[in-house]
Amino acid sequence: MAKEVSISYERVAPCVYRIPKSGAMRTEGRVYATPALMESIQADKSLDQVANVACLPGIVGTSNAMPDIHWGYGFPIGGVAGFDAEEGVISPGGVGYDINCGVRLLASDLRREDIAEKLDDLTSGLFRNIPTGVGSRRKDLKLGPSECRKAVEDGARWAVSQGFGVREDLDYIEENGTIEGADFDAVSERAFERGRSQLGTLGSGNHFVEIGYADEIYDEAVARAFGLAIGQVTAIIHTGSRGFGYQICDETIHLMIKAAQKYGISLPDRQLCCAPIGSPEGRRYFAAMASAANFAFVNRQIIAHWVRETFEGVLGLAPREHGLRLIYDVCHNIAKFEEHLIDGRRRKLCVHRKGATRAFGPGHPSVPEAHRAVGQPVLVPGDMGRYSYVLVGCGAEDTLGSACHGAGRVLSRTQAVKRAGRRSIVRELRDKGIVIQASSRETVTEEMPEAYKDVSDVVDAVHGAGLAKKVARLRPLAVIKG
Amino acid sequence: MESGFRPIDHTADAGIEAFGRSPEELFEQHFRGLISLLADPRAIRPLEERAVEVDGADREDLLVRWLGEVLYLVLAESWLPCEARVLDLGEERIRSVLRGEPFDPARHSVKLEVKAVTHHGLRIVEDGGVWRACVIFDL
Repeated sequence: MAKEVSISYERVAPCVYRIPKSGAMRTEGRVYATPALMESIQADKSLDQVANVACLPGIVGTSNAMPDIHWGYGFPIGGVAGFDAEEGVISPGGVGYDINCGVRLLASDLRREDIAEKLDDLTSGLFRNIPTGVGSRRKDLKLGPSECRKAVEDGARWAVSQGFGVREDLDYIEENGTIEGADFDAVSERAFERGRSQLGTLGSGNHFVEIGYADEIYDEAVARAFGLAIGQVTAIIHTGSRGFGYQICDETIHLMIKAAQKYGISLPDRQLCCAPIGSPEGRRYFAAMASAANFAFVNRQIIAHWVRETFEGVLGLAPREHGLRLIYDVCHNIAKFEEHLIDGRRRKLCVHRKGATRAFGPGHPSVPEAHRAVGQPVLVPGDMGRYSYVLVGCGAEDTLGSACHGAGRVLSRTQAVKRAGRRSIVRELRDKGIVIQASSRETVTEEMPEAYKDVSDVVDAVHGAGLAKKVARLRPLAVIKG
Repeated sequence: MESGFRPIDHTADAGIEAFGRSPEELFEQHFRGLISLLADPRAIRPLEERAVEVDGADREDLLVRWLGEVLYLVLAESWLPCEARVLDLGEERIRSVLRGEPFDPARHSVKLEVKAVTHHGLRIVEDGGVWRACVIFDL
């Protein structure tokens, strides 16, 4: 159980709050938020979690929280922390159950009016081609152990070699769609069994595929560099590593509770369990986590291929006519080895981002060459009724080059269902020009727009704090969900 | 409440608070709570038996790991249990028997994709002969 400590903080910049060291904290906390967001952040125990993370061995810099912070398990959702690659720890709770849950954005050569008459067909086409909801899968895709090994060790590259997408896609995926260090031998039989039929599936809850269009451009030059223009049709895919990653995280938490004891690491909360990065437990988790991250890259690569096929089938267009190309694919639940400038010194860190997005700035070698002059695209999905944002990373070293990942719920699922009463959310969205299809009516109600915070508040805080700058806003037209 | 369970309202996830007149009954009530989140228990017939044995660091860890086994049976092996009997509950080991049947898409549906059973804030407490614990599930 998290310690009941009241967390004190002070505002140090318009969108930055500092949590001073106290108790067992090895470093300070930093929360990036507007005063209005800080009001709601205080309401849960997430600030205690920022302080708890600051207690872990080997933490470098500060324990950071993005403006969409809310309480998670162990680490808060929206948490970013770097640990020394030699002396620090690695923690499955700092990544989360859905390893490499992430977002992929594609842009097309079509304009909103080109698909206006075909929205219903596009939606049902997507729904038919992309398995959504619990237990649903395509009968033409089930992995044997040797294919699974290749998929998780090679990542998106493997998917392209199997005909899912094109070679150029790989240039526009974080880490080019393959986290180095993945090892199928570190993956348990159970994770393989739970995940093998779930490759190429969306899942349920907040995962979605959304066709939309750019309705506002904030930075013309950067939008042009990304290949985004007003009125242009886009597609967003939000999903992760499915049961494969959940199982790896779950099993590792049990092992790491023991490991933390073995290495004498005292835990303010059991879900913060961790092990030294170089220990057998730490190395094994990294190899398994990287495998799940690659599984997620493959998953989004396959689904993107089916999005393209749906456009071709429904609209009768050739690939060069719809022009659907990757703008970017970002992870928002991940631990990675990165070099950062800390107090004037380059250091190798294991950066944990849980509900946070990498946001590297202009000139960084990890940013795709085509975007390098302006910075890395940062994708921030909102709810299915309002909008999502494309930002560009500023490479702020204070957050180890990180920004926010989404809106976050404001109503629980039960509250949402109660609030909706007899309303038809499907009809309400249709009245706003948005077509939605989902496996269950309940999911649509639980995921209704007002169940989420307004993502523009989060994005404004990130923009104001100089972590990432607003580039474009995307409006939904067609959504499929679990 | 002396014995039973109820759902906990949680902003992003889901939880079950359960009660029992013994630790064994507390575990069995948590099993019923989890199954009620995942499926319609009335649609599951107790046709087959499965023995489930789990080790853990302590009672709390055992509860999380045991419910995790149930979740794995449902989501990975497509086997739906409707009854659980705890045969032996120690500090570091639990032995139990589940009854249920294979998932049949014609009669069953899984309502919710529960990713995992968490340790979040979990403490088993006893008060006047009633055992109580809240378990949070990651959705």
